[in-house]
Amino acid sequence: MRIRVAIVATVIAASIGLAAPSVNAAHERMVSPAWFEGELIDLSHDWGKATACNVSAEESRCFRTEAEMDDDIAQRQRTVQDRGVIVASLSTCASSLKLYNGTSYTGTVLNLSTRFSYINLSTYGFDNLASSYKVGACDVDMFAGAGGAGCLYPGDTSANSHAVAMSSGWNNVVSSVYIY
Amino acid sequence: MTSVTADDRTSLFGVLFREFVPAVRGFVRTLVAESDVDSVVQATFETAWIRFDSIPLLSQRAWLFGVARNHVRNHVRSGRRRVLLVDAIGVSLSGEEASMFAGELDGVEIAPLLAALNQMTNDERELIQLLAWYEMEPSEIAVVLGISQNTARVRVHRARKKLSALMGDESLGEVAP
Amino acid sequence: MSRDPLEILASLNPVARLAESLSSDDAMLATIIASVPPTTVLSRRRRRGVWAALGTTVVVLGVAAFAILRQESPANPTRIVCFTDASVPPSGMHALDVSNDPVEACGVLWSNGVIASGEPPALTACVTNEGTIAVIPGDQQVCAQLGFANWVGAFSDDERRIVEFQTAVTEWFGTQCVPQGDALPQAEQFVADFDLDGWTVTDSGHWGVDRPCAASGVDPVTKTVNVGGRRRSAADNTPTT
Repeated sequence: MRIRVAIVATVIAASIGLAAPSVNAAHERMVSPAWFEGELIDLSHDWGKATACNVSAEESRCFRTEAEMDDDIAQRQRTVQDRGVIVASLSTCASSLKLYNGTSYTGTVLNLSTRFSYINLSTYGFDNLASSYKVGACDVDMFAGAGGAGCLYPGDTSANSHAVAMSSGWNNVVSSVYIY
Repeated sequence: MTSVTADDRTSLFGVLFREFVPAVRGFVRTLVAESDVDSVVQATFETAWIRFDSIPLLSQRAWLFGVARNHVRNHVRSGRRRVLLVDAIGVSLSGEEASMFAGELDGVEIAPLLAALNQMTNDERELIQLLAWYEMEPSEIAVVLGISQNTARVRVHRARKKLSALMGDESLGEVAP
Repeated sequence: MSRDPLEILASLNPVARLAESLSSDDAMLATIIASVPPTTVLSRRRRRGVWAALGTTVVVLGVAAFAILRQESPANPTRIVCFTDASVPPSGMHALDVSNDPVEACGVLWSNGVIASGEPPALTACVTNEGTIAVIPGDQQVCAQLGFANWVGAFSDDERRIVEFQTAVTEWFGTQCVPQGDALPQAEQFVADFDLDGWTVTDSGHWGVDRPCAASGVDPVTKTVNVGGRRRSAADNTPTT
């Protein structure tokens, strides 16, 4: 029994290699905790292998693909409807703003829906990264600086608008947004 | 990767338990009254069983101590934390050995050391004890106390300096942080 | 001749006497293994964890020590998580911005059927290893059982005030059209009313005929309130509950 345990343990240990839990290297408290595949990650620090994150007052979940994220959102809405519960509140837009860090809706995507407040993208590790976007059911403003400061993005960000690329000079510039 | 059966996990946990229960028990004994020791030790290893996959390979003892500390804070009925050096030593020494405190050890008077320790804060004493009694590196102390390694190194350095200063010898504090 | 005080202390080490095995240890081990249900124990597939070895010098390159945080105050006081069950990792989690009591806030999700239907269970607020407040179904012991610290008491007064402040400011400026002349003074009044120290209020600009109403943003990290011009919105003059 002892030898068997020893062999098993040695084999396991040898095969682990670099499979250590991912930990915020600075061990700081989380600014933006989000759920990703069984771990809490801090979006302000490192998205890890997540490429699509949905953030709102009610939800902070990340996924490996945008399709998974969209599926999850749709399923939650169905579940909520099935339970006859009205979750949508005044402060959440029914459909979200999607910011992509690549042009043509590629790369990592941040899904935002909290209304009536300047959202600083650095909070979610998305400062100066937006290269394309899709606006949901609520009008949006985008700004070069945090807290609504700096230049106002001149492109169309009204409800249901979208752009495969930012206006000239605005690639990787947006630092805050406001959802009406 | 080799797959592991539930039996293997149980066996491995048993090995961990037997290896570390004496150390955890000794540690907990410096923290709580004897009547609470068993419940804290058991709670610590129940957590270890639940979180078995997360126990860090290279600092198992420190991880277990950290969990034990947390259970002490949450579970202890009788209240008083027994971290005072004198209490912890006194309880384990026979009457003859305890009289050593009045005198010297290897030409050094012990009373000044105890007096110096009593002038430190609880946190500083805890740190000193982890260093001296458990021979922990700052990286392990970081795990036990739940602080970053850098913070642990700084605190260790400061605690050593303060202890030496309180004993009236600054030069002994100059150890590498 | 003086010696390093730590050396002296080490020579008084009581640990060897205090650390011992007891004949009852085998029974304790059996109790532990039997009492914790298999479903609570993490499955290897779901956690990228590291197996405990035999406590000998098995060295695995690249394995980092896993520091466990026992902090009891969150960095961002507005955001908490509600676990859907008492396990690590939980089968589900909701993140919320809290207004007051995290347990109450998650309790609303439970009683509204968002997390599960039926009678809401007892809930306890814990602080996870990463320093996040997590509200978990179970009694006061559930935190320690999962390897977390209990979140002691409530938010500090400061933190609660900041959360209420954030909610109040957002609601005020978001649901009515506050003109430029009133925006800064009203924001400053909020800061004063909530008795907040060291906060600044700044005007982000962007006012205009087509942007006559105030937008706001509160950043607890930089202790800043921003106000700026925005377009009119359908939400203006919406009554708040």
